[in-house]
Amino acid sequence: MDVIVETRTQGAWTVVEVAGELDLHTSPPLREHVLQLIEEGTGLLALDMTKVEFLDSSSLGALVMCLKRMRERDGRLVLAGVAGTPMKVLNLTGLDGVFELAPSTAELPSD
Amino acid sequence: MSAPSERLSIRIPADAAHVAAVRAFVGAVGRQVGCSQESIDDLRLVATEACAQAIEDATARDGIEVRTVVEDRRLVLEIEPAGAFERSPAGLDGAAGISTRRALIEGLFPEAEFDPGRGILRVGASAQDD
Repeated sequence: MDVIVETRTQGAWTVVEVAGELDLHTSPPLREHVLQLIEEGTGLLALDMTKVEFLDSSSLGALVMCLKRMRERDGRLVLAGVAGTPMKVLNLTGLDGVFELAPSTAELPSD
Repeated sequence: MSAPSERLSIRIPADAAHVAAVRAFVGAVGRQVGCSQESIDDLRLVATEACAQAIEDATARDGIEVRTVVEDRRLVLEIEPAGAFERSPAGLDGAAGISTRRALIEGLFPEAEFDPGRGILRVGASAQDD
């Protein structure tokens, strides 16, 4: 199942809408898509996680890789709308303090 | 699922594409037993982490078996093999002194039993009160 629903522009931000369950199998395509966007010069990138129902540590590894690459390019990667089990996983691993979080894509930080 | 000591199991190939089937299995059994949604979500996460570790460790040549045992309105989950849980997964190096996967599992289920000799992980959750 493809977890990438849509990639769109919202003001200065590029928003990737993600849905479903992120695990060892489904997160690599997302990682490659995000890394490609960064490679193409996207500097403000938000992942809309509102419809992500599940996230494991393999997916966290993929997201951390994307975050590191974005920071190397002086860009920003925001996770928007994280809730439920994905938020619990972020909290348990302490990565809620590493990622920039937004309540929703409607409330992305001003660039 | 009201019979005592009822056992169910699912065996998957050691392939990440099949781990979603384990989550579906655990979710279905958890709902039948009457576990809370939060407990079910936690069990699904633990099962996923254990399967992923076994796949990465390449210790599951004959596949991975996930067993559920229901006893006294308590659901016990066993994953075999469950991986070694001795190193951090790729991309999270340095996150903690112990593997992130194990930290997650012990954070959700402090009483989780790791049996490295047999390669089994065992966790349990109780059904909600009626």
